[in-house]
Amino acid sequence: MGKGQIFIIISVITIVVIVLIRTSLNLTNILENKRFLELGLERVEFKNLRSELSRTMQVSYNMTNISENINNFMGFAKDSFSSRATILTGVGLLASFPQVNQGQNTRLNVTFMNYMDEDITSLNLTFNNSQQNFTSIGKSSAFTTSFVFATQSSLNFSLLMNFTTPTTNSTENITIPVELSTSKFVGFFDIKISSSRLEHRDKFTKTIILNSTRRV
Amino acid sequence: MKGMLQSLEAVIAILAILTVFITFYSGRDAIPEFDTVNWKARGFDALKALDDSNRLRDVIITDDTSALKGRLSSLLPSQLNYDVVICEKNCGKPDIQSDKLTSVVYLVSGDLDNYLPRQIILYLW
Repeated sequence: MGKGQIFIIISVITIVVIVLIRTSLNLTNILENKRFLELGLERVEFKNLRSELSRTMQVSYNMTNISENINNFMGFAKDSFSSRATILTGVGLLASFPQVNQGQNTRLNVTFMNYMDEDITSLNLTFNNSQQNFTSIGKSSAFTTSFVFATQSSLNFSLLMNFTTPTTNSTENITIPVELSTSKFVGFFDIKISSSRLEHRDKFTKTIILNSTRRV
Repeated sequence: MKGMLQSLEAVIAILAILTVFITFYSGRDAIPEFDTVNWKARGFDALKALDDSNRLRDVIITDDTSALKGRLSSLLPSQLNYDVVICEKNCGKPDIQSDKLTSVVYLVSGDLDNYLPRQIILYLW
C-alpha cells in the first residue's frame, strides 16, 4: 500500500470521527435545555413580582393609602419589566372595609385598576344584591367606588366582577371574608407577563387584617 | 510520477477532511452559550437566599450597595465578577468592559412598614 493510499484511509477515518462527534452533539437537546433554563428564570421573576405585590399590602397595612401603594407598585413593576423587553399587564381589584359592627351598615370601598394594554369597554360589579356598571376605563387607570353591607354574623360575601375589552371578556367571583369587629383589606390580582419566549399568567387573592398585626 | 500521485492523494485527503469539517462545524449551528444563563440563575438565587434569610431588605432601605456586595460575595463563585445597582426608576448602568455580560433584576416593595419600591440590578460578567 502506497503512502498516498494511507493518506486517503486516514482521511476517511478522520471524516468518520468528525461526523460521529458532530452527530453525538444533539443541538436540539442543548437548545431545549437552554430554553428551559431561560423559561425557569422568567418564572422566578414572575414569582418575585407576585410575592412583592402581596408584600406591598403587608408593608402598607397600617397606612391609609394601601390602594395607592399597590397602584404605584404595579406602575413601577410594569416599567421594570418593560426595560427587560417583557410586557406586564393585568387588572387589580382592591376591597377594604372598616371594623364591622353587628347589624350596622358598613361601607366596602372598592378600587379597580386597569393595567391591560387596552381600554375596558364595560365593567360590572355586583356585591350584596347591588350592581354598578362602568364604561370606558382607560389603560393604566384606576377608580374607586363603594358598596354598603350589614351582617349579623361573620360571613363570606361575594364580589362579582365582569369586564369586557375589545378582545376579551372575563368574570371573577372574589370572596370578601367579613368578620365581626374586624377591618380587612382584600386584594385580587390577575397579572400576566409576556415576552418573546414566555407568557405567564396568575390570579391570586391576598387578605390582610387592618386593625391587628395578625395576617390572614 | 509516483511522487506526484502521492501528493495528489494527500491533497485529496486534506481537502476531504476540510470539506467535512467546514460543513459540520460552520457557524450557523454554533453551540449555544450557557455561561450567561447560568450566571443569571446563580445571581437570582443569591439575592433570593439573602431575602429569605432577612439579609436583603435592610441594605435596600439604607441604599447600601457596598454592604449588599459584601453579602453576595459568599454566595457567588469567586471567579465571577459582579456589580450591584439599587434604584427605583431610570437606573444607571455601570461602566463594565466585558464580552460576556448579563444582569438579573430583583424587585423589592419595601420592608416592615416602609413602602419603598426598589429594583436590585445585579450585573455579572
